[in-house]
Amino acid sequence: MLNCTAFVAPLSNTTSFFLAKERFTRNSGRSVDNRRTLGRRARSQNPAARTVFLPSMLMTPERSVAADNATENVVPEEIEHGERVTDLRGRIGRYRSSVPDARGKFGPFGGKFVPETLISCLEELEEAYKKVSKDPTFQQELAQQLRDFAGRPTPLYFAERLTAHFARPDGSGMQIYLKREDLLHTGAHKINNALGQVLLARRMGRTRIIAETGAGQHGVATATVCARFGLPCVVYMGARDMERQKLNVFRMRLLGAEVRPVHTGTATLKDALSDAIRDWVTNPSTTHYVVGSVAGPHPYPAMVRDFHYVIGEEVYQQVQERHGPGRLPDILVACVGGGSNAIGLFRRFVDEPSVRFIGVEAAGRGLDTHEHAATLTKGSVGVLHGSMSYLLQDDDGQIVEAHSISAGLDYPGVGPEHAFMRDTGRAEYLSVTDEEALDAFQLVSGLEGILPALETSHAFAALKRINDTIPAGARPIVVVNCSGRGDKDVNTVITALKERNSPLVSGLDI
Amino acid sequence: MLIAYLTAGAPDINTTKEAVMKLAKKGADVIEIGVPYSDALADGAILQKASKQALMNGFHLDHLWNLLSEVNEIEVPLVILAYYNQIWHYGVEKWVKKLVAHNVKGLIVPDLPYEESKTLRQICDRYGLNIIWLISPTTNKTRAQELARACKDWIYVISRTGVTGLETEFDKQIPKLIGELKKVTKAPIALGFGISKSEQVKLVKSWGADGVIIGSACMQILLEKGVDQLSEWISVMKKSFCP
Repeated sequence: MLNCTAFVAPLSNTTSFFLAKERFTRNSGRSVDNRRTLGRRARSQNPAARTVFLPSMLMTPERSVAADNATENVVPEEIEHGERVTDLRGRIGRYRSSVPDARGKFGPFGGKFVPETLISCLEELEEAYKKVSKDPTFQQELAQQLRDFAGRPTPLYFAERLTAHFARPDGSGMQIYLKREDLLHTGAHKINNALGQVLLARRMGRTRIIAETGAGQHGVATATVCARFGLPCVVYMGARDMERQKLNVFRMRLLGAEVRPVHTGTATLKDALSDAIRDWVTNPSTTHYVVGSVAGPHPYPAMVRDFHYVIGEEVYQQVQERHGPGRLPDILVACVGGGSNAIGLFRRFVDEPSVRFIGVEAAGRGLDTHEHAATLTKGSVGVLHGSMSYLLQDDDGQIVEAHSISAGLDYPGVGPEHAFMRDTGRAEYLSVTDEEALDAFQLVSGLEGILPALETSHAFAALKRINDTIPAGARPIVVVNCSGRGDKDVNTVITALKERNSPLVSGLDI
Repeated sequence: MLIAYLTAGAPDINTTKEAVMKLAKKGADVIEIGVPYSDALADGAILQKASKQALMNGFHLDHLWNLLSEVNEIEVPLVILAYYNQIWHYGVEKWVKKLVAHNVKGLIVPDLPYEESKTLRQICDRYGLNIIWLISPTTNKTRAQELARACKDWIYVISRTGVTGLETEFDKQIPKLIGELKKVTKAPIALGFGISKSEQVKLVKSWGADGVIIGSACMQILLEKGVDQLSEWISVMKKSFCP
């Protein structure tokens, strides 16, 4: 059984946390090839030690920061001077798990591009976050809420029929596991972060919570936690998204939140974020802004990542429980809008070079059209909502509208750590179309009895292509982050299937 | 010092040009031209609407460069406000060179804090363009004084937390903040955000500020009543500040 304590790692020395814990549980410095050997060695240790999570602050940093600093400033000149940068692969060194640095930079990405009024708020937030990540009382409180209120740990489920569906004639191919974040309270991984941030806001004495939401999942999670703690909550939501996601609007209202429609710009997620930032600029001393993804200005990308770190940490334990000590998953797959569920899954494994990370973006109606949300695949570097990353923009640097059938991926930016992971080669990014996601939605529903969110369906849709990259005879452990449940999307799917004259909707007058 | 703000291209670029000319004649001491942006975080409803209108009408940076060459003759200094992504994506050096070539005196980047501005500062220094830093009521004293020292032209003090717009209540700290800045700099201090009335202008002057920035009110009058009414109104505001 998993022990659900303390998953928050501190902002800058998370590396030492990983390494120290690795030493605690197994051995560090292990290479990919001797994984099995060391796995056997680990078994001979006290089995109880394997499941103990120590709060990061109890560990002494031992990794040399100087080693990281040596490569820290690999920042090509064009990133300093701008001008339509679309690809820095091979030019910014290797991924470093010590990111972000003190300035909130993930290599050249990230940072703090905000109006002056917010600088002091962000500094205060950073201090408060550093403090709670070293505070066992906070960690215990969070762990208890994650367990009792949110429903952690979530199962790692072997998708037997999906595995059989992709299996080669000799039985080899992907061994597909689902990390069942869809089983969490409110139906998606978002609650991990909402709980963490609201508890933090309470510590900081903030009396009012605001959030932005696209599909409504983050809004619902935040409204839920605010109801739980009796805090007033305002959720900004694009007017068009409100129309697309009425059910979630109603849920948020039931939970006592005020949902404020955003009519500016394109009336979608990016504009909701902008309006939430404007609210925060107006009420900085009373309000905490719960950013819903690994985007935004420092310290948000790191903080939100750390609140989702628990996803990968559980996977790390669960794979070993099934396959023996020392066994790591081989491939991790997750959808990427802003990128929080993907980072949550990946982050535990960043210093395990044998583990392959695959992020799946929304290609919407196709990469050859303008209607997609494939920021990493088709975007260029720029500054949006407080950080530097890849984004979709026109020749004048105006942010353009993204499109995806899933409202949660419909964002023209992406978290800075994903930009860093892509350009350092640590993670690969694919994109799948609306059509492919819809097919996957139906496939997984029919084969596994699980309705994945349309966002999550993108991750499933990539499996076929991933399978093609697997060498003959191999049986890699593939973990898909089943980040959310699809009930919220049923109306969207019905409309889409009607357009396609699917027999599933024939005779249904919905 | 009266600083009047106009969003370029709202309602259209010819109106902007006409407004620049007339405001210069009617008492504006500096004219600040905002480049319309899709995600203007520091802007309230009126300026967002102006940006959106300009973009819907097909505003491009070329229109800005044309505008700047056409108003080259005016004697009033011009200042450009743009968001960092616009500058960065265009190329920081190219952008600065372009502004200097068009005789622009200053640059305001509302989402670029000092810490992120090293490149822009170096390039602006090289070409002789002034960055106008914003100081907010939430900026702590040490930082505010550092920013004030970094200012080579005038200093933009934000009158309250929040975005631009007509909400007229100033932060209580402002008189004290102005006093503290005066201790460390001789640069003129201008107060902006929420200024739309003669009484406010007088009050701000009594606190020792050297100027006011009027943005949302200008754009509201321009969009609702036109250039002539705006320039008449500006002359009234100018008289309130410099009777």
